[in-house]
Amino acid sequence: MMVLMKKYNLPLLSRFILGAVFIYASLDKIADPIAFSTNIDNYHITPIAINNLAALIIPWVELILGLCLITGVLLDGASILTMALLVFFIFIISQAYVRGISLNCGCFKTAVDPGLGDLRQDMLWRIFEDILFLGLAVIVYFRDVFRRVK
Amino acid sequence: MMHRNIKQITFIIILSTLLGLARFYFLKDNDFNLIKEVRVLQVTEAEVSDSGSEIFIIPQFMTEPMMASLEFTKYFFDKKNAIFVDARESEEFEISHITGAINIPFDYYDEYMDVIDSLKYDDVFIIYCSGGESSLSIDLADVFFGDKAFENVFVFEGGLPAWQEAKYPTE
Repeated sequence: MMVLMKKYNLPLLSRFILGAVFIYASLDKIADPIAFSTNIDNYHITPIAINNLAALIIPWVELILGLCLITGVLLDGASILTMALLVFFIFIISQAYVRGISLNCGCFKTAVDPGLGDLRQDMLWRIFEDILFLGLAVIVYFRDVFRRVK
Repeated sequence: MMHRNIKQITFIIILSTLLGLARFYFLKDNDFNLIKEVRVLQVTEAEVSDSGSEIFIIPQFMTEPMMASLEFTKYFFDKKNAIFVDARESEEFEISHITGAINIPFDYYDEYMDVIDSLKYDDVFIIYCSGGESSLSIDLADVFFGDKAFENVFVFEGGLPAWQEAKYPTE
């Protein structure tokens, strides 16, 4: 870690990576909230009644968080909300995996990629990805600790 | 510090909510409401024949897929005049499925269009998945009934677990 901290500005790098990922993840969902609402249904964790509302609001939260992370505006609040959102994503995909539900998580694309071989393997990959992103969000929030060592 | 963070988070959430509501306004889809309605499929009821035995009759004009009970499903399984469609993934289908069922995984149904197109529109289709938590069968039933205009589409609500519990034939 110290080697990385000497070589790179980790908080800045983390902000740009996370910001780009959140903006990219939001676009397809903003374009098609109906399909995203169906994705949320498939998790079977929230009451059906609120899933349309969630499908309308969550993508915009992701987009604004992405913009905040990249521009550095409202950075503390954005990084806390990013961590909370990622913990929530890890929890809902994990619980679906443990319950034996195979699903397209809707994380980046609302429609299933026809080339995708195994949905359950994809779910494990998404959990792993989200844990990595959570690590980046922690670096952004505690940026004073991870600042580049001269 | 804490107070400032809460203010920032609140601002992001309120802004997102307003943008989400604006997106809803511009969506202009009559079927998409802010509060999602829980979909309840109509259940097919048994009738009693002259000989006193229970029979199931396919409704003449269905306006949407209907829910099939275990009894309904077994009735048509025994009569051999329904096509059973397993909407789960092919790996799950290979492990076990209702005897004689065909596999059209909902998540990849586009790849099975040649199979779907080879089916007759007036056959009776009973679609199932893992039951309970899974909505794959209802989603595929909507494709059969809505997109492909098949006339007699049923969703076996209990799915494979209910079928196996009743110790009915699987392969």
